[in-house]
Amino acid sequence: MVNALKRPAFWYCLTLALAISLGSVGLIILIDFGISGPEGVGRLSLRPGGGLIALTLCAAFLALLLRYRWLATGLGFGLIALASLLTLAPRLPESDWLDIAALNPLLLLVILLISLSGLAAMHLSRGWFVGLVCGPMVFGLGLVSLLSHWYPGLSALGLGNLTEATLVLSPLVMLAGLILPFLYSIYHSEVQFYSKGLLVLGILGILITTLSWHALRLQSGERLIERAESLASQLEASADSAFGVKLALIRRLAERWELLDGVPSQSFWEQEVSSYLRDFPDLRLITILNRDHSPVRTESRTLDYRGWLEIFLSDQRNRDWLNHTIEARSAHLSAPLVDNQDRYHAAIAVPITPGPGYSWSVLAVVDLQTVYEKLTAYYDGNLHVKVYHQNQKVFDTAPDITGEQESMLASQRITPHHDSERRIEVYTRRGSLPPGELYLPPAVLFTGLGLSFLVMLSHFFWRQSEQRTRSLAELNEVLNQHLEEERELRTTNETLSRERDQFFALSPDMFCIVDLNSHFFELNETFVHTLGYTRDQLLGSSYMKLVHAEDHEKTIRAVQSLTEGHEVKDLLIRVLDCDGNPHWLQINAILSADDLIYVVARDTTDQLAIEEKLRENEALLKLAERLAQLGGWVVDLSTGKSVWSDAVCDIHELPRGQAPDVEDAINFYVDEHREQIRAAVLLCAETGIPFDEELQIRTAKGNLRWVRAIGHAVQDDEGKVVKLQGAFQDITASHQAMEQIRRYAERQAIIFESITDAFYTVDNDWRFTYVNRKSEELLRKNRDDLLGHNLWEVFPDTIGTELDDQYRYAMETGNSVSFEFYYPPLNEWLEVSAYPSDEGLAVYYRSIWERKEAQQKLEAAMAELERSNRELQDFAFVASHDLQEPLRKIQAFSDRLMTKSDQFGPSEQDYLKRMQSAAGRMQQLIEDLLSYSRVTTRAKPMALCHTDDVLTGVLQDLDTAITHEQARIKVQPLPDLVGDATQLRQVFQNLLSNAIKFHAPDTPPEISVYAENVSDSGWTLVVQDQGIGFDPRYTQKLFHPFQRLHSRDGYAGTGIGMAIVKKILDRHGAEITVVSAPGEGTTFRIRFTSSPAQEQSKDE
Amino acid sequence: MNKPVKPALVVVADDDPDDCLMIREAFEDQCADCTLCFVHDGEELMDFLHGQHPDREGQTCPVPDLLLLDLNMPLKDGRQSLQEIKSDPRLQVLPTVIMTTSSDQDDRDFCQQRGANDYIVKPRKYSDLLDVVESLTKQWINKEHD
Repeated sequence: MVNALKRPAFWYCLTLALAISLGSVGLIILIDFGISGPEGVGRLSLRPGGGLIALTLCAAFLALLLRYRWLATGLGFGLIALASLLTLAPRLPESDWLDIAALNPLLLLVILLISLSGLAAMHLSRGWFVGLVCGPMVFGLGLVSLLSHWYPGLSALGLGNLTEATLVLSPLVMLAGLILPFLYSIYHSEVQFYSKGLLVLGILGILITTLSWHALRLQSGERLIERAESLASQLEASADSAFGVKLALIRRLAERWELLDGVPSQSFWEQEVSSYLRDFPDLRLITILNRDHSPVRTESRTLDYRGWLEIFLSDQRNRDWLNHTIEARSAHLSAPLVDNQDRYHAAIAVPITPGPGYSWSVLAVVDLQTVYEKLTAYYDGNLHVKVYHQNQKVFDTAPDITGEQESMLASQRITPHHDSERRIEVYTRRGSLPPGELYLPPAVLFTGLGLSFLVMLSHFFWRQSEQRTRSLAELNEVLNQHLEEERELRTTNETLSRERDQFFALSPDMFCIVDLNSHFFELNETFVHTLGYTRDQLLGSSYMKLVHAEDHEKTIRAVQSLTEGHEVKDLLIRVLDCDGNPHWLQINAILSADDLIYVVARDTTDQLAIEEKLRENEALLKLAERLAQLGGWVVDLSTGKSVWSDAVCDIHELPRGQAPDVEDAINFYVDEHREQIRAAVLLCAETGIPFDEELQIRTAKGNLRWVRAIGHAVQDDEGKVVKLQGAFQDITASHQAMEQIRRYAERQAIIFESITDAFYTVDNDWRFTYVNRKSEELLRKNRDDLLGHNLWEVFPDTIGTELDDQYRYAMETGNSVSFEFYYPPLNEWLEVSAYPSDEGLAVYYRSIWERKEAQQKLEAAMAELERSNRELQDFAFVASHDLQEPLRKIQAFSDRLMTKSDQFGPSEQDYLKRMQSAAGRMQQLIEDLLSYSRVTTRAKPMALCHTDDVLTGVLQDLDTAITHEQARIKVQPLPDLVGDATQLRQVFQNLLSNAIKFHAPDTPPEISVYAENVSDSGWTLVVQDQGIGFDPRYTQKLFHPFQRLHSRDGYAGTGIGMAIVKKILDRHGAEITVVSAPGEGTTFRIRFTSSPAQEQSKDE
Repeated sequence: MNKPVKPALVVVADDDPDDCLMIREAFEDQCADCTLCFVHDGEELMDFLHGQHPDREGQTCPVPDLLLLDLNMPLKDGRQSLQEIKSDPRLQVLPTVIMTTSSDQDDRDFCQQRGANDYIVKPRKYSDLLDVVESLTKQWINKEHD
């Protein structure tokens, strides 16, 4: 692949290089032309016509290489047209302006050939042939053109108009010739050679090369001009000096003769002038002219000049010039004078005065050509010189070269004298640079092109190798993938074969492979196991040894049928195991293509045993049938025939073996059941719905019997009922028992219906099994809506209620439960008793709505009472508190008045005192009231109190009073109790202060405090005094607020103390009783009971 | 009878005109050089203590030597006022004596906890009030000279 690429790639790169070179050269020519104009240095040898062609050719090649087919085609035709135009048009008259772009006709031929090859390569199927023909031709033309430079004989065959053009053009044309035969293959190659890198590289290299070439050319041109200019100025200087020398020579001659008094003698003249003529070859003639301008003495190199002199002198212009010379009295050089041989001469005239009055002159003729030939003899031939005197060309080193072929490089103008003017022009032949300068730029150009081409080629191959590396990598990857796939495939294969082996080994069926010679070839484990042989015993041995002798024939026939191409299916033969027992094998076998028989066998010995068992069972069934008086029957609907088992016949009291048809069978049923069975049978026959009826028949012998008739349909594949079959049982005995049970149940139901409690039962799945009438009323549901339905579905509101919990508790534990239950949906309070049993739950319940209602009303009244009491207490507290304020003011201001009592009379003072006293009492009342209400408002939590400590504290407080009244108080240790210590203290305080207070005036109080009836349930505090006592009639009054039993005069107090005591003790749940009689003292008993909560507090 | 060496300022916060009258008379009898200033609720009291007095606009109120504070007042009551005074670093040094009708133990405890300097139940007798004023004067106004 890569080798096949090499050649086209080479040509492709070459073509690309050529195209770029052409483009580059053409571009540079045109740009140079544009910048420098037609006279530019760079244009010395290359013309814009060629540039244009080169550019177009470049474009055409590029288009072809890039496969822009139609662009390339267009450019090809355009190229032909352009070349033709540029070749032919300048040759038409009046088209001089096109000369500058004119093409060599040979070049037109080349262009034609190239274009044709290109077009053919693109458009003709055998285009390569055209290329093959044109290529050598073009190459040949190029070669000849190149050689024409060295072989002047071939000069007409140069492709360029100019030498340099030929030198640049020819190799390019040869290159094109080389390429042409391959254009076809390049164009049609399937490989994409083009790459941007290649193009850029080519353009870069070739552009640099071309620019260098151009720069060299410019440099050469400039050097040439420089040389030409120096040549011109040198020539000028030489010519000037040459003429100066001549003039000085002739003047000296003339002066000497003047000194020698005029005309020299003939001999002297001859001698002297001859030496002049000899020494100065450019001098042709020297003569002395008298004032009439007639020669007095004449000496010439050849006689011809004598004639020249005559002609010269005969011309009036020359005579005038001579007169002018004499008048000016200085030496003069005349304008060039052409002779009949087209040679240019100039005359030098010097006036002399040989004697007074004489105005003679010496005239010398200078051959100008000789002068300039001498001067230019040593200059190189590349340049040629033209000399003009008075605008007349007097000298030309290359007279045969016409103006068209030469370019002027330098021009020097001198005006040595007012009437003489010289101009020296230096030319070069167009396109003919000196060899060194001619070869160097093309050499650089083509070396550069070659290098660029090599770079492009190497770039191309570098890219190829990159691509190849890439493709190799891809290939590698693909290979790896294939390898991987193959590995997987192999693994899969191995797995499959392993699985097959496993399948073979593990199959419960017996597998074996035998050959046609009845030898075992392969066996599986099951086979070996079933028959009990070892594998080695069987392998290779004949299977006929195993086959039961009676089945040999069958086996041989089966093998025969296999060889005839049939399969063997379900062949039953007996095979002997190692112990000689026969096994029934069911065999399937096929013959494989390699003449092996693949056998699958199943040991059906056990199956056959099962069938045997079935037959035994059938006999047992018949026995059972007889015993259970249960029989079977079948009716074939298509034939109408019936088959009755013996039992069925027995039940009907028909002879065994009889089977009446369906209608007769139905007629055995009693009248009231006949239609029922008929309908059931018809329905079953039509739709396949089975029936199960308990009905009464009258037997053939006229006995009534209850029977259970069961029937179902047998359907064929299409679902059509083809048979009815069923069972038939005499249930007379059980029916009678059932009847009995039913009667009991009815009786029970009547009882349940009649009881006043509601009653229902649910089964273990919570389905109602019985609901009595009262239940219906209470639950407001019909019995039918309940029976068979789930309790929780019918009454979903009860889920999660106490009812739910209780029922489930009863069901789970088997304990009966009783509870009260409010059921909001019915707005009903129920008292429920549920008794669980094995069958479910029996529930008795009744409405307790009235009772509950009464209870609720009571509770509401209590709550109301409580509230009003609390309000009252609050009022008492607030009122007493707020009443204090104005009272205090009254007291304060009356007190203020008292301080000023000296201003009042005695009665006013008395009033004031009474007012103060009343206010003080009111204050006491209010304070008492506050204390009383504080029993509840300032109540503190109950806590364990040490009663002794409380009592001790109170006695200390009362110390003053005790001392004052000389009271004796006996205290016994008291049990602790749970209560509000502050309030208990108040109780003691009030009781004791009363006891101290209320005593007979002359008897000191005697008080004892002790505990009675101390037990776990509580104790009794006793406070006993020997005081004045009171009438027991007022006992109840004692505990009411502000009730006094004694006068205020005798005993201070507002009568609140005992009320407070009572209130506090009420709060403590204690009971106070009092026993008293006037003059016999008083005994208070307070019974503290310890509630469980109190006990607990004690423990803590 | 001690006479204050220089006029002392006593602020009485009480809304009850009768009590105010009584207190004024008691101070006149007992401590004639004391200047009494009455405010009628907690707001007014706090304004006064913070240097503003509705009757003396623009004037800086002098720092009182003693504050008699009633607990039950309209708007901001005595309990709140006490709390504010005793939590204000500038005012907490001000001797604050609670003078109230309430003899409730809860009120006593509350005031003690909040830093009241004394707790006096308004006496029912003028003579008792005179005693109270005397002891107050002794304790809080003339103590530097005792």
